[in-house]
Amino acid sequence: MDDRQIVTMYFARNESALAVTQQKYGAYVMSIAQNILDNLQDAQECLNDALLKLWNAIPPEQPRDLKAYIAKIARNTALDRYRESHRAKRGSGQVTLAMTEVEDIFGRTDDLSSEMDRQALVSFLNAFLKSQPTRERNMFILRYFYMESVEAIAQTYHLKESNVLVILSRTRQKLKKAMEKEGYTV
Amino acid sequence: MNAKDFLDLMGEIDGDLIVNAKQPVAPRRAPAWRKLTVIAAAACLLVGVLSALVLIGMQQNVGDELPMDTETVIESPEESPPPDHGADSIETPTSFDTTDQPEDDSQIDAPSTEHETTNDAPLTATFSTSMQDIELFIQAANGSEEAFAQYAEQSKLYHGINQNMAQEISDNISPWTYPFLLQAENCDDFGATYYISYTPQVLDIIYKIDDVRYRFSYSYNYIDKHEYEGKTAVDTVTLGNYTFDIYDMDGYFVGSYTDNTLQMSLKIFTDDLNAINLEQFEFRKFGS
Repeated sequence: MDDRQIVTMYFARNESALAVTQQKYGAYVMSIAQNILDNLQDAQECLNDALLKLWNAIPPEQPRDLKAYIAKIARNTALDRYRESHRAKRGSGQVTLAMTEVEDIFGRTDDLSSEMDRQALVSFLNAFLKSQPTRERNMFILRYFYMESVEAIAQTYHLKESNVLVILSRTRQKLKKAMEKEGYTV
Repeated sequence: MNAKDFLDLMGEIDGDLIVNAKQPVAPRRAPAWRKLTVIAAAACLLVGVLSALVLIGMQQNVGDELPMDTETVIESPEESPPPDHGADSIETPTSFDTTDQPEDDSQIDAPSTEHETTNDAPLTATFSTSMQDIELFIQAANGSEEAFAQYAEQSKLYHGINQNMAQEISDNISPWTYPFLLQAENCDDFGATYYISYTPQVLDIIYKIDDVRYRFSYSYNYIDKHEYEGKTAVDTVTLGNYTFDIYDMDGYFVGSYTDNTLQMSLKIFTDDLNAINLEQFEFRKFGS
């Protein structure tokens, strides 16, 4: 069943939409959640939460790309759950590692003050990513959107882990330079 | 913006980017120039073996025909032709110079034989003036296309090394620390060569100071056993963050360290242990 048909089921409030979505994208959502939560049970709960949020969002939302839409919901849900359970301290896991990697560029200061800043930055980030070579762009997204481990990315691209680390580091540096050139404080 | 904000923002990037990042990746294939090098190496090996068989056959025939005290002249097998890189007709150089100065090949040895090597001239990038040559190369490799083209023109970089290859070299070199001489005027001679067509790829950096030659060989993505296994260490040295033993190999001293996927072998060509002075170097990354 294609995504347009599934979205139509949501609009028709046909509860089979949830089962169909789970069948088509359940494994995909679980992989995103497990990268972040590192726990099968938490990831399963995250999947259930994501499906519920999808049910509540559509309609009025009418996502053009259902797969990407549910990926974002799953990621945000998993990150919220992760932050809740790690509020007091940092643990190990891909989220902490990913934050550590980008802290050398973005530091820890909080100056993202407005929604307008946020929208502008998202547009900037999209443009930056699209300007990168495909391999570098996809690796960056696998690491910082999907929170995949460096080992998993290395296996996907048939590279050594050290090569992946170097490529990610170089892309982070390019992002930093591009942001400084645009006048963003990093 | 802090790291948390950045990760949150990554959650809002375009859906196309998110979905496309998960597309299957085809297995890496060796670039054509590397395949050709392997084919050329195999061809030369075959020629060498056949030549040896012919020679053995000739010797046997000569032995049968002549008395034992007759002096015979045995022809050495013909030199293997340089590899043919196919339709592009790129001639394989033995080495090439990134500067205008004549190159002193006597100061630069080929990588040690425990590595797999071709029998042909290796494809190399040579930096014959200073470590700053290598820094310029790395900057150009990671710069714009125009900047790289300009660098290649000005440095007379071999045109067979394109920016993709240069970036691969830069990726190998960049994470590690290297020896920079604290007082450049003390250096009698310097040479550095990156061997691209060897497996693994190797960067050799050689200094000659007060008649002592220091050769630092960096093998990337490769760990192997050492020539000094079974020998007793004669001293311990420290290079930056790495401390390791060195061994007397009759004519030179050798030691090495490994760091994850890097193997660094240091050979110091002198008979006098007391002549070794590693404190004249500082160890840092390129560009730091």
